[in-house]
Amino acid sequence: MTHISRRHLLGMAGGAAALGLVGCGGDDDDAEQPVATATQASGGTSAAATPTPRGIKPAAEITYWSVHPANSKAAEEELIKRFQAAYPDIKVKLETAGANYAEVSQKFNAGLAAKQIPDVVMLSDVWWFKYFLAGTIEPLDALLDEVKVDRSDYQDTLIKDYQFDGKQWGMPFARSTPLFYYNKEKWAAAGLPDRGPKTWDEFDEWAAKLQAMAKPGEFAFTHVKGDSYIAWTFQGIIWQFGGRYSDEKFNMLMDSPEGIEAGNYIRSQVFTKKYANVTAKDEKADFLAGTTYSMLSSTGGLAGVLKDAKFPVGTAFYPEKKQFGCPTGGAGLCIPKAISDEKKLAAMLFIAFITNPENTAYYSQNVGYMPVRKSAVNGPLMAEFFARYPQFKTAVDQLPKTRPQDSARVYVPGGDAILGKGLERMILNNEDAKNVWPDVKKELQKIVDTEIRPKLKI
Amino acid sequence: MAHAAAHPRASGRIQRLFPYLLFILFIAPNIALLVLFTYRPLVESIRLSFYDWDLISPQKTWVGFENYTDYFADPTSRYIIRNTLVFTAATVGSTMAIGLGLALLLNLRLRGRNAARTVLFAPYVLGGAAIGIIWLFIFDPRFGLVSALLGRLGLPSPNWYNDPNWAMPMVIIVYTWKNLGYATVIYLAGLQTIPRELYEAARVDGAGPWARFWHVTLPQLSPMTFFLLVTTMLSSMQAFDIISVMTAGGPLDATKTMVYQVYEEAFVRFRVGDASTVATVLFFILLGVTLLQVRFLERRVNYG
Repeated sequence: MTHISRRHLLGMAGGAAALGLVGCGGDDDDAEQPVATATQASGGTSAAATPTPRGIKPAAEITYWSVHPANSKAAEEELIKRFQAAYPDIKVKLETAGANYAEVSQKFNAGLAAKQIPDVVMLSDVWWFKYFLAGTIEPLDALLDEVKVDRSDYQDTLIKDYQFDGKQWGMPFARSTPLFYYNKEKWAAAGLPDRGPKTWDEFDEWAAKLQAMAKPGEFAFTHVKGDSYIAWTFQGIIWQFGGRYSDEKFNMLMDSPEGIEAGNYIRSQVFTKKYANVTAKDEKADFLAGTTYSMLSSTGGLAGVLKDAKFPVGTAFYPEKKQFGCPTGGAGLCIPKAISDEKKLAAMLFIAFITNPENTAYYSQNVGYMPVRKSAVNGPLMAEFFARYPQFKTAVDQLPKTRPQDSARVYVPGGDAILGKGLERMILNNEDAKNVWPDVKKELQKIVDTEIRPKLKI
Repeated sequence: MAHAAAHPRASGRIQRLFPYLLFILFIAPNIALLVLFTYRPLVESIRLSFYDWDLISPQKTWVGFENYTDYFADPTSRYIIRNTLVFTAATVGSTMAIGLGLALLLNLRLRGRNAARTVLFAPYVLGGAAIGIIWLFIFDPRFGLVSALLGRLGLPSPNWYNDPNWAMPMVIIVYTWKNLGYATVIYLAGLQTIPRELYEAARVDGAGPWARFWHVTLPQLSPMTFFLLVTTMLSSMQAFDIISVMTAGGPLDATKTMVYQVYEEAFVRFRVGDASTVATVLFFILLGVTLLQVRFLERRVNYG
């Protein structure tokens, strides 16, 4: 991998922007030229012209399956418009493949069985591994080299999340961390300092004050349910308490004393301390309505929250307990194995283009996900924006302190749902974590033994 | 005709076979569709219940009866069977009872009767997903219509979305609402076929309104009742759309029925063997229920 200086890269990103403008102007009589130039823009060095070293031309049309996470359809359409301007010879068809990550995964799975698959598919942290196990997604290393993508410019944590067995199985796109969102008006009314709580113990004190001034039906804090990824927000909490769901050898460890303490802690927030509820449908809607005063929610929804909130919103790191703990999350883009080489090449060009520094900065500013490129975060692309909206910086600042999620959630097929259901038993049904975790462990262990160990030979 | 007379023997055979040929010709398209889209998947599903398969890997692993022993050993399965029966009994019972009541009402000479009939039947032709979304707004524990109405009465709204005890009543109410029009229309048609003389005779014998309903209307409606019982029971046991949209089987499996379990095992967890096992069990339950109905209930039906 060639090393590229930040200035060099930004220069090229600027070039890409300029190219985009030219393209928008309707200049399409030199269709050949942009392919080469835009390949540069996708973060690589020079000299990649069509056809590529293998003598393959990118396909004329590719299909992209997305779920437009956090209402990002307009932003995605803009990215595609920019891509069409830079690559007039590759038409991108954007298809809505479900309402959430589970649905696109289901559709992809069914599509594989029916042999109707896209060329680029959005697979979230908890889904891509299943398709890696099944051998149905393409390792991207050779393609990344072919279109000369500078992998070292992607944020390390985010790109590593899609690595296994020494190969790259997807590229980070809509990537997030959970943030602690709080309603500054309520904070001020309760006499609290304008920041997030440093620890859960501090938050217990604060929440009591907040709850004291709450109207009936209002709560200082809210938890989400399984289908809104409680197993993701709780991933951070179980780490903070010194526990974990599992280790990298797929041993299930959530029933440790620390895991039980963490589970019973969130249960106590709802049932004994009574300052937290479980959101009926959408934690962001409750927060925006002013009926819950704080929440743990993805940075992916940040732009929408800031736009719709009628009160000042603060964002902060996760509170700590024994230590800090915070996962990354969100979705990446994968390429199916069973499509032609021409399609794969076009798909790679598309992925590289929409995750280049310029475009990831655009996507981040308009949706809320983190820019996936170092040069975007550290350079002028985001600097002015961060100054204007410091809330966006929290996730990026938190990122170096995150760690990869436990295998039980992201690698065990269906693991997220099983963990989520266990956590629902605690926060909806007031069941003791001591009784819940062993059931969860048994269910996950069975899948590990039947579906993972035989395939990975571990 | 002259042509037929020229070959008396052949034409005689064709004439004899003609009804059968015509019969085959008429039912062939239907049979073909049934075989292709009902019987073949049925047989295939029973076959798959003896395998482990994830829908995409090239091999299926033969596991014998393991899926069945796992299924019957799992307490969740019993809970889901119980959910299915509760949901079915409640929706069938309330759909038929309320449907009959409304049919009696709409059979009266009331103003706006035709408009009322149309309005009542409309939900039946609406898509389940759309209905589910609309009712989710209505049941919203904080901002919904139900919450507002209960608030008028000074009652707090149950947390329909999160409370495992209230989620099932919620989907039962919605499913009943959707199917009410169907039961009403069938009963209404039935009511209009009851000969007036029967009521006149009953009146002459001194029967009051209640006795007339009990001894004339209800027995005369028994074919409709039987038909509705069979059809609504079959469709309730297979209800999917409303549950999927409103609760996705949750919270905590509280609204998970067998059909939803089939979907979840096959297309969320990709365990086709387990899904087929549930489907097969459901098939035999439905077969058993239908046979019982035909065997024991149909005898009591008065086909006039």
